[in-house]
Parts: sequence; structure tokens; C-alpha cells
Amino acid sequence: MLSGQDLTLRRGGARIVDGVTLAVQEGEVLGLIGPNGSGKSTLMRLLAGLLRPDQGQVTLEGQPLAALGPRGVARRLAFVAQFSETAQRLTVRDAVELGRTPWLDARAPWSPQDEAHVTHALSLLDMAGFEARDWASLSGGERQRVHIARALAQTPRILMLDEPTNHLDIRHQLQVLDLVARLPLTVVMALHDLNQAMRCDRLAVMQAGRLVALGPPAQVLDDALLCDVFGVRAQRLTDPDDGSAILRFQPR
Amino acid sequence: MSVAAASAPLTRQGLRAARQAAWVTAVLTAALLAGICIGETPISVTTVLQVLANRLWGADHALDAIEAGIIWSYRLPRTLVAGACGAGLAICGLVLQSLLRNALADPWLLGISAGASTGAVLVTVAGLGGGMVAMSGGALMGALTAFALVAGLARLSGGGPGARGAGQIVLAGIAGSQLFNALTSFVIAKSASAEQARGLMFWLLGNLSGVRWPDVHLAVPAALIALIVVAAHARSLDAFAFGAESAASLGVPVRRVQVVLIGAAAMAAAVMVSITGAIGFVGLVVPHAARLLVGVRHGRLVPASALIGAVFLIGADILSRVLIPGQVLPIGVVTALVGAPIFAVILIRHRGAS
Repeated sequence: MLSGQDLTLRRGGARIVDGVTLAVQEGEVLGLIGPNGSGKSTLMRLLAGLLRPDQGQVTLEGQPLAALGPRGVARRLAFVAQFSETAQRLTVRDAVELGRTPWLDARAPWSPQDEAHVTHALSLLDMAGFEARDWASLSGGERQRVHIARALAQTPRILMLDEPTNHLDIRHQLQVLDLVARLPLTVVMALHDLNQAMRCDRLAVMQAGRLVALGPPAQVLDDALLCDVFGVRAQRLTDPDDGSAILRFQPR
Repeated sequence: MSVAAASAPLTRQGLRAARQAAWVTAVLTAALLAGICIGETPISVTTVLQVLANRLWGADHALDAIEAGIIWSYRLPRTLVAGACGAGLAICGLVLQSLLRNALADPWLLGISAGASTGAVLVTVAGLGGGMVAMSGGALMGALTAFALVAGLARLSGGGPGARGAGQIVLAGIAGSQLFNALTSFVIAKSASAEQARGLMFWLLGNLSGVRWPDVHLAVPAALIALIVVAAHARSLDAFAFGAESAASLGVPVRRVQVVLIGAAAMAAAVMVSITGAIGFVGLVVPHAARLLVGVRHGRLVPASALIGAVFLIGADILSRVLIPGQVLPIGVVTALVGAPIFAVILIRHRGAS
């Protein structure tokens, strides 16, 4: 689906991402975890084609990103950054309509179909009543949901989210994670909350630019890795409601 | 049935486009007529139309030769150049504001016009080639050099999107303008012949006197090319609302779009500066006015800015001719008198936004 071969990015002598090879499988939710500065965001940008690796290559549906071109990539893959602001007086609907950009040109002007994609994306994020609101009047969480709606309006096959729950209150965090799990899409997202990461199909763990583990959460998040990568001890509790595992952390 | 369903919105779109075109033509024509009629010697609309009919369609109205001369050789080219210059500078300002994501961007404030002046003066004084095109070429080199310098300085000093970045680029623009204005003054002072080089006030404040038909042949195509190139990139400009990375993730070839649009904007500014000198604040004020009228989407904002810019500068030119009887103010004085207070308002509102 989406894969990176031996990806390396250097900045001023340091290797921000160092020889990462990673294949995202169709339909999975892949969580990208790691401490601050471990290269999660940079790896996301390399995979999304927003940064060019100094070494290695990214392929999307079997083709190198360069062969697809920016529009070709944007039709298949949508990316939501962590902080993305504007001083323009855009409405919510304006912002979500931007998601149709890769599908429009002189020969394919705005159509009722584009309209429908935008309306659907807004309703998925529970933003249907917000369409006429000014960007400046939105809370941080609302902005984040608009960005995700914009990405969904792109009708991508892969959705990449850089810490999507960061600005959200707990209700909307759960809403976004539930939505992500429900969508018939391949999802790659960077996460900080390891309990949220437990809900992913697979986890990729970054440490100092290197990919140090990749696999199902229960298998990846063992005591040795939590201690080594995150510097914490964890206790495993069981939720009496549904029997799922909860991690409780203590300093090492 | 599907054909009917598809063609119904098409005709509606066609009708709307036709209505808009009629509206734009009416506004432009009214502005042009006002620009030709109003002045130290007021001329009636009938006379103007008769002169135009004589010239353009070979009509045979009997007219005062002096009036006909004033209209055809002075007022008409002057007004056409004012309109083209206003449209070009407004588009330039809009492109800079959208790409730099900075509400205060303007070719004059960022030193691009000053750089163009320096380039034009260097070419005229150094005598490289001579003639209009060479001077515009020099102005373009100067404009691009100034933009590179100012953008680089803003970046080095920690500029970027956001309130602080907005401040940095304006500060860098001040440094750039001062440097290039000093260079212009130096070159003009050094070249003894004031005949050959236009006066210092011309390059620093802008002036439409002395505009003739060859200037029209340069200014109007330059404005039209800038308008077409920028309008063709309207969707890409929309996509820059959340920054270059967001635009890239929406499939916009960011680097190419930046080069093409900055190039078109610099070309428009350079051509206008080479003809009229550095007229300030048009590129700042007009896009903001256009946003108030048609919103922030560039599909409408680009043509609206061009139209408002043309009308604004024609109006400013009329004012510059009638404000002090018997004397023509440099047009830059008028635009600055209007623009500086608006700059202040944007500055204050911008603080509220960030």
C-alpha cells in the first residue's frame, strides 16, 4: 500500500530519520509512537511526500511518489499536520472545500459530486451545523476536526494524522479514534497516549530516528521496550467492563 | 433528460458570467471616462466619445484640435496606464499576501518597487540597450533581487507565518527599501544629466505625467498577463491558506507555483515601476478592500482585486490632478494619504487576530 525503503533524512549532520523501512498494509490502523524528537513527525512527512528523503524511497500503491506527482499523491493520501493555522477569514465550509483541490482543474470544475463529498466529510466529524462559522471563532478542537474533515473530503485511501487527538477534549478524542477505526481507510497516525495506541492494529516505535519495533500493540509494548524507549515502568490492569488491557505508568 | 439537467446549471453559470462581464465593463468604462474628462481642463463626455469615434472607427466629427490632442495623446494613455498599473500592483500585492501569508505584504512596503526603481535607473543611466523593454528588464532584475534580499533577511531574522513573522518581513522590507532608495538617489545624483534620468521624486513617489502610448502598449499587456497567470492559479492560492506544507499535501506543486506567481508578480510590479515610478500602498490596500467585497476565495478575489486596483488608481490620478489647482501632485502622495491610515487599521486588527 504505502511503504518506505531505507528512509534517511539528515539535518545539519544529525540523522532525524535513520534507515527506516516500513510497509503499511491495506486497511490497517498503524500507530506511530515514540518519545518527543524521535522522528515520528518527520517520518510521517517523508511517507506523505512532504519531505524528500536524502536516501531511500517511498512507494504508494507500487509506484514511487515522484512518478505519481503531487496531485496523484494527494488523491490517494491525505495528511493532517499538528498545527495548521490561517489568518484568512475562511468559513468551516471553505476550509473543508480545500480538500477537493487535487480533484479540480480547468477541465474538472466544482461539481455537485464535490459538494456531496464536502457535506459527507463534515457530517462524519459532527460539524454539520458549523459550516458558516468563521475559522477565527473555532476552538482548538473544532479546528482539528475541520482539518480531519478537510482530509476526508480529499477522499483518500490513506489518511495520515500527526497527533490527531492533541487539541481535543476527551469526548472528541474518543470520537476521532472511533471514527478512524470505523473508516474504510488505511490510517497512519502519530500518537502520544500509549493507551490510545493500544487500539491500533499495529504499532511502529521510533527511537532517535530509528524504527525499533513493529507489530501488534500487545506484543510491541512489553516491559523492556517501555523501559528502554519511554523510560517508564508499566502495570497492566484489566478493564472489568470489556476485559481490555490498560497501562498505568510509573517513573522507572 | 440528463442533458437537460446538465445544461441547466451551465446556462445559469453562463448568464452569471455574462452579467459579471457586463458589470465589470461598465465600471471600467465609467472609470476610464472619468479619468479622461476630469482634469484641469474639464472635457465633456460627448467630446471624448467623439474623439474616440474619430480615432477608432474613422468617424468624422468636427472637433477642436487641441482638445482632441489632449484627449488622445495625454489623458487617454495616462488613464489606461493608471488602470493597468493599479490592476498590476493590486495583483502583485494579493499574490505576496497569499503566498507569504502576511496581511501587510505589498510590493512597495517590501522594497520590491524600490528595487525595481534601482534596476530601471541603473539601466537608463548605464545606458544598457536603452528603450522601454531594457528599462523594464532592469526593473525586473532589481525587483527580483530586492525580493530575494528581503525574503532572505526576514527568514534569517526568524520571520515566518504568524504575527512575529509579519513584523519581521515588514522590518526587512524597510531595510530593503531604504537601501534601494539610497542606491537610486546615489545613481541619479551621480549622473549629471537630469534630462536622461527622470527626477528622484519620480522614482521614489511615482508619477503619471509623461505617460504616452508606448507605455500603454507595455503596461496593459503586463497587467493582463499577470491577471491571467494569477487567475489560473486561483485554486492553488486558496490552498496556501494553511501554509505551504498544507498546500503541498493538497497536491499543489508548491515550489513551481511559488516561482511562477512571484515571477508574475515581480514582472507586473517591475513593468509598472519602470513606467510610473514606485507608487505605494496600492498592493496593500486593494486586496483588503476586495476581500471585504467578495470574500477570501481567489477565484473571485483575483479579478476583483484587479478591477478595484484599476479603478482606485484611476481615481487617485484624478485626485492628484484636481486636488491643488494648477499643480499635479505625484500620484504616490495620493495613494499614501489613503493607504497609510488603512495600513494602520490593518496593523491594529492584525494584533487582534493573532
